[in-house]
Amino acid sequence: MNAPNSNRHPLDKYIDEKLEQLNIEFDPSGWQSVQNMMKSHVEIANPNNSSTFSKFISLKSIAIFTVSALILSLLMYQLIGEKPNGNINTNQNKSNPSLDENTIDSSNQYNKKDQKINSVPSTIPTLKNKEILSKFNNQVPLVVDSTQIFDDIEKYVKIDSFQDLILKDSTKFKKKKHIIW
Amino acid sequence: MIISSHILIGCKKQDPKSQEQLYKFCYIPFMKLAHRYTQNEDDAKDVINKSFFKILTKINTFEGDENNFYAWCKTILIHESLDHIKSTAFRQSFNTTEPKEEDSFIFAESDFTTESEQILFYLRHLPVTTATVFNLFALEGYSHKEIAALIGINEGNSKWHLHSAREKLQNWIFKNKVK
Repeated sequence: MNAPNSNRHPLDKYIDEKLEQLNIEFDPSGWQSVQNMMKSHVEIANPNNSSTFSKFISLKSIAIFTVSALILSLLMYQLIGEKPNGNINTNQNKSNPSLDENTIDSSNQYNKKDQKINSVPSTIPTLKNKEILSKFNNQVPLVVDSTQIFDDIEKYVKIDSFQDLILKDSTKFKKKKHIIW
Repeated sequence: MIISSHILIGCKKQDPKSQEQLYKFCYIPFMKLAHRYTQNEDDAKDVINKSFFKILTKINTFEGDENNFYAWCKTILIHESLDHIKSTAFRQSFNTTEPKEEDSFIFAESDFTTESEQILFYLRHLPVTTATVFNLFALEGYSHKEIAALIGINEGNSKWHLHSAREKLQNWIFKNKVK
């Protein structure tokens, strides 16, 4: 680029002179926009420098938060463990003296459950149960002598083999009394 | 124009006061220059702000002294003005060699408060390429070779645009004065 010399076209010189006479006033708002552009440029160019303090705070806060969360979770775990419901002890050794009253022995619980489960199939009435039930129901059990039944059978059915069988086992049945509901 | 050395040193140290002093010092001459390349005052201000942003961010790449600092700043402004022309809708007419048919319009002298504004109005009504070539050659002192390289046309085309600009401007100014 060369500076316009004195041999310039007269029209060029005239126009240049006229344009130099343009009345322009200083606008301070332009400087504000330049400053804003500069600030944004600095932030983009050096993101670490611009937000060092805030970054430090954020890292610090994150660290504090994680540590406090860990401590809180441990404390909560401890507090829950000291509740009257007691700890859950999976130890199956019932004779362990260290187990206090509050501790729940899971093995014991399971044993109790087993007992309950075993008691459920006893829907088929046993003699003992029937006696107990009869007490509650105030019913007199029907006493049947089995020897009498067999004597009656012998009267009507006379089969040798059957008779032999009955003779052999009659001694067993004679003294037994079966209760039939 | 010579910018004082303390402003230059202060700007290199990113001193806000020195930067503001530079802005105030250069604002009016830069606005006069930007007006020639843009179509309105808002565009001129936009070009100036972008130019100052580039000047202040790239000031450490300047290796000269205070004697040629203003010329360096002015070069940045001209390049920014050319970028603005290219980025606006006017770039569409950059490659057209056909000038607008505006030879017939005559302006009333009462439309302008000063003769400077009238000349600026004429300059803004030239085809974009023609006005750019005229600004660069007649007002800034660029050679046709430099202009051809800057705006992407050949030297002969640049000469044609200069001739066309002078012819139109002379015609408009003469017609208006006769009236």
